[in-house]
This record gives sequence, structure tokens and C-alpha cells, in this order.
Amino acid sequence: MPVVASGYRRWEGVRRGRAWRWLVLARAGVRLTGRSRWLFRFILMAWLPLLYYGVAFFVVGQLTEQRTIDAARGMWQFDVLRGMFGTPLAERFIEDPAGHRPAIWSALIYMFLHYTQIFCVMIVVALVGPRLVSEDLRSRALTLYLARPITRLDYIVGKLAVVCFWVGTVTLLPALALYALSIAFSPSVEALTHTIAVVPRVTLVSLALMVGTGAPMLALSAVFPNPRLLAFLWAGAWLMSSVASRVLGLALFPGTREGDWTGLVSVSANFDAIAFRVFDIDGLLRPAAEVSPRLLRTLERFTPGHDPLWSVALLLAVAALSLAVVAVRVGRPGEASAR
Amino acid sequence: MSAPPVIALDRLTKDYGQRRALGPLTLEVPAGRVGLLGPNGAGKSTLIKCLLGLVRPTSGRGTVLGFDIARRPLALRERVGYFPEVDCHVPDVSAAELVTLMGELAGLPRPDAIRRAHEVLDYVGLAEERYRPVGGYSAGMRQRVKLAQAIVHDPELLLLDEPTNALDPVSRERMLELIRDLGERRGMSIVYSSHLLSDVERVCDHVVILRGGAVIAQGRLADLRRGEGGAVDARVAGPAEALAAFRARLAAAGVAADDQQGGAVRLTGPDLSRVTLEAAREAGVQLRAFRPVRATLEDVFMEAVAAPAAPAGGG
Repeated sequence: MPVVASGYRRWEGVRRGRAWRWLVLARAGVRLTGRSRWLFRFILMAWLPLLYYGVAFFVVGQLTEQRTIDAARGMWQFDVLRGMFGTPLAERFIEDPAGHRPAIWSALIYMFLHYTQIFCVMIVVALVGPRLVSEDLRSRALTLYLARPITRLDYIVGKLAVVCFWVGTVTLLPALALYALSIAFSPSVEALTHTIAVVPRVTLVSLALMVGTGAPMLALSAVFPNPRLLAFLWAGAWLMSSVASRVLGLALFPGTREGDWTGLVSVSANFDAIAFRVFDIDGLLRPAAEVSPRLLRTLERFTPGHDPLWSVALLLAVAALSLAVVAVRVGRPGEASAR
Repeated sequence: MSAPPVIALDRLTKDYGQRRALGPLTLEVPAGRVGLLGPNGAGKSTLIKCLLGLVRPTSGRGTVLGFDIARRPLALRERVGYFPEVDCHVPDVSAAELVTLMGELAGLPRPDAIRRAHEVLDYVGLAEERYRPVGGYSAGMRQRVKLAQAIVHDPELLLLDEPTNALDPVSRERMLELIRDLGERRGMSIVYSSHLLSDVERVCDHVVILRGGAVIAQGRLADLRRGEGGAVDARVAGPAEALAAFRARLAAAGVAADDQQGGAVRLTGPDLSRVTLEAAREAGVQLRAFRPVRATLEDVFMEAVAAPAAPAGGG
């Protein structure tokens, strides 16, 4: 019992505007989902690749300095470079190391997202997303939410922002941290001006991952009442889509990537294709690949068989359809219960 | 000049497919404590959801606190508190967090929302339990949390949908006290929907009775309880012949006398006071009690619901 029972008191403050009400929901959702110890541990793990890529950036930071190259000219490091890239490319690199910064930075950050972080997105979304809408439907929290001065759109945006936030913690944030680290390791400030384009590219790819995974997960959460089952289904469907794409690719387009549209079937391949285009990997690496058969083979291995614009269109269509499903499921809570 | 109504409806209807759930309803609800009564399926909850803009009316229009319910639902929801009938909560959050969240969603800055959440949780009687997840609360505690979240943003109008459902007698008593206090001493207008007539009778001074989605009776509770005929329970004593003469004189004056339990006689007819006194004097009987019959809300309700459908005011 309180020491002083003050009873009911009037409130005479000033209300905040309605434009950012979704942020209240998002913040509450982030706080609530952030209580999961599994999520916390996994995010820590998702940042581990930074150690490896941090070392890589330290090395390229040094190598792309003209002073370093000039100082090392004629020493054994040159032979290592020639061994790695082949003599023509190594010579070209030695002539203008700083000019290769945009290509190397973009390629490394693309690899960082391609190899580890997309997998982390799948897991994070599986950990965070399944309960977001299903629990609100089950506990009828929607009735409480929508009796407040918020719209269905506020609700959906708020919930989507929760997924986006956590996806951002394994994509945008570590990628930006990695970039900041790479700049910090670079002996000259020029590295920043040469590579600043990486920041909007990382942001764009991360946004694609956020919306492209968040919207379908919200829709599934609005449809599937069992969060645990949904988490497994999500991960299973993601992995199976990669397997299906690979099998279809081998069956329909054996030995060639030309016109191979089967990447569209794979969730990962679609995001890879978008990242490949956004980072302009082909445009940045093609000149170097023309004098290095090894680099050319690597580039062709990563080049998507289909036009990445198809992946963008597919992503937008899936996101729009998913949000429509959520909107229908959320509906007007009163309508459903009054029937 | 009378105060503007808090709720004004003009031929409001709500259909679900082919089925009409509400209206056409024309109604003005004054400020104060208004009971919304009706049998199950009368349209009480649908009306409340229409008033909040949670359900879009099929036709007609209405205003709540001067805001159009179809065009400005967000503005009105900032000023209206809603206590839903169904059990609902945000999973895995404590009462303090839930009420804070609801305050923030209503537009309160976060520091104010936190302070208000603790104030209203104190007010509804949730002490240390406020830090426990709501999912583990008893039914009574959950009802109190629902009341706290409904008043955290200090609404001008409180829409309560069956607030004493699933409460034990002590919790129910406490809930009714709180609601009465909010209406009487804190100046909040209250619409109290319930089928528990005794609860409405204790809290409200106006009632609106719905049946089949239409208003069949409305007005001040005191007026409705007074009854149309103004019946009187009288108790008389005297010799048998005198009593017979008394009844004969009443009959001659057009007053009906029905025997009640305990020796009382219920008199109905015109000009009862004068006719009864004259008949008693002329017949030589002793008039020992003469008390106007005050109908209970249950009488009013049963009479209204049993009457053939002839909507009163509400269309």
C-alpha cells in the first residue's frame, strides 16, 4: 500500500504529435524481443566475422598506400602480390594502389554480407519475428493498441521496424563498424573520400534485407499461431530454397550461368544478386578481371545468372503482398470480435 | 444553456453482411455517468466499437466529444479511454510497462507516461504486483490493469464494456467504487455497458436501453424508475366493512387496488393522493402507510425489453 494515496490526478501536459507513434510500438517491441538471451548471444556471434575482415582491411589499408608500395618496391612482398593476382594485375595495382580502393572496399564488404551476414539475417529473423503479430492476435493486445490514436499502418510499420532493427544489428551496424574500422586502419584520409560510396551501398543492401525478410515474416507471424514451428519453417524454407535453386540450376542450365534464372527461387541468391548490383561488383572488378583469369573466374562465379532487377521486383512484390496479408489479418479488431 | 452531449448519433447503422447489428440509431448522451443496457446481442459492444472508430458504421453519422467518429477517430481516441470486454494484454510485459506503453501511444511524452502509469496503478490498487508480467495476474488484477490503461491518458470520456465481468464480490465492489469515483469526483464522463443491472444502478444516473440494435428506452434513471402510472403502496387498517367501503370508493374514482404481500395494497389510477385520502376518511379506515412505488432498474429494464418493438428516440 502506498505511503501516501494520492488518488486520481488529472494530467495537463501537451500530447506529442501522431507522426511518430509507430516508433513507440517499435521501441517497445525491440525492448521486449531484446530480452531473449539467445538473441543476444547470437548477435554477439554475428559480429565475430569482424575480427577476420578487420585484419583483411588492415592489410589492404596498408597495401593501397602509395608510400607503402614505394617503400616495399623490390622486396619479397611484391612476389607475394604477383603470386596472388598474377603479374599483369599486380603490376597494374603497383602503379596505382589508391585507385583500386573503391573496388577492393566494395568487394570486401560485399563478401562480408554475402558469406556470413545473410545467414545471420535468417537466424535473427527466425528468433525475433514469429511472435510479433501472432502473440498480439492470441492475447488480443491488438484491441488495446488500436483503441489508441494509432492506425493499422502505424502498427504494421512499428512491428516491421522491430525486425528491421534486429536485422540492422547483424548487417548495417557491423558493416558500418567494419567500414569505420577500415578507415581507421588506413594511413591516409584519402581512403575515406575514395570509398565513401560504400556507406550508401551498405545502407541500401541492408534496407533490402530488412524489408525483404521483415515483411514476409510479419505476414507469416500473422498467419501462423505457433511461433516455434514458424521459426523452424522459416529457416527450413530459406535453406530449402537454396537447395532447390541449385538443383534446378544443374538440371536446367548445366555448365552455364547464361540465362540461368533459377537463382530467383533462392532467398539468399536474390539478396546476393541485389547486393552484387548495388555494390557494382561487376563494374568495379571487370577491368582488373580482364588481366587476371583467376579473378575473372571468381567474378563469374559470383555474377548472378539473372538480372538483379528481377530480384528487386520479386522482393518488392513479396513485401507488398506480405504487408497486405498483415493488414487483412490485423484488420479492425472490433469487426472480427463483433461478428 | 445545457451542456453539449458527449455522444451524438444520427441514424447510425452497422451491418455485418445481411445482418443488421445496430440502428438506425439517433441518440444524444449527456455528460455524466450513462449506463448502456441491453440483453445479449443488443448491440452494446458494437455501439462502443463504433464510438471508438474501431468499427466503421455502415451509414449515418455520429460525434464523440464533438469529433466525427468516421472522420476523426484518432483525435477522439486521444480523449477517450476504452475498457474492452475481452481479456486482453500485451504478453510478457509488466503492468507498469503495459500502462506506460498505452500512455505513450495516446500521445503522452515518455516521462509523463511513466509517472502517470504508476499513479493510475496506485489508484486502481496494484502495488508491487505492477512489476510482474500481466500474463500471470488473476482475473481481478487484469481487470484493474485494463482500467488503469484506460485512464492513463486522463480521458474526458471513459467507455467501459462489462468492467465487472469475472470479478469476485470484493473486487467487483472495488471496481464499482473506482468507476463511481472517476465519474462523480474526477469529472470524467462514463458510458458503462453491462447486463448487470445492479452495477449500472449503483454507478449511473442515466441509462440507455438497447434491444436488437435499437434504443427502446433512455433517460435519467430517477425518471425511469418513477414509472408512468405513479403507483402507490398503501397500508390501511379498520373493520372489514370499512375496508370494503374503502375499496368500493376507490373503484368508483377509477383507482385500481391490488393486494400485495404483507398486507399492502398497490393503488394505481388518477390523482391518487386526494382520492385515497378522501376514500379513507369517508370509509372510516386508518391510513397507516402511503408510499410511492419506486420501480427498480430491473423493473424498468424488463418492462422495456418485454414491450413490443416501439423504439424510444433511437429509431
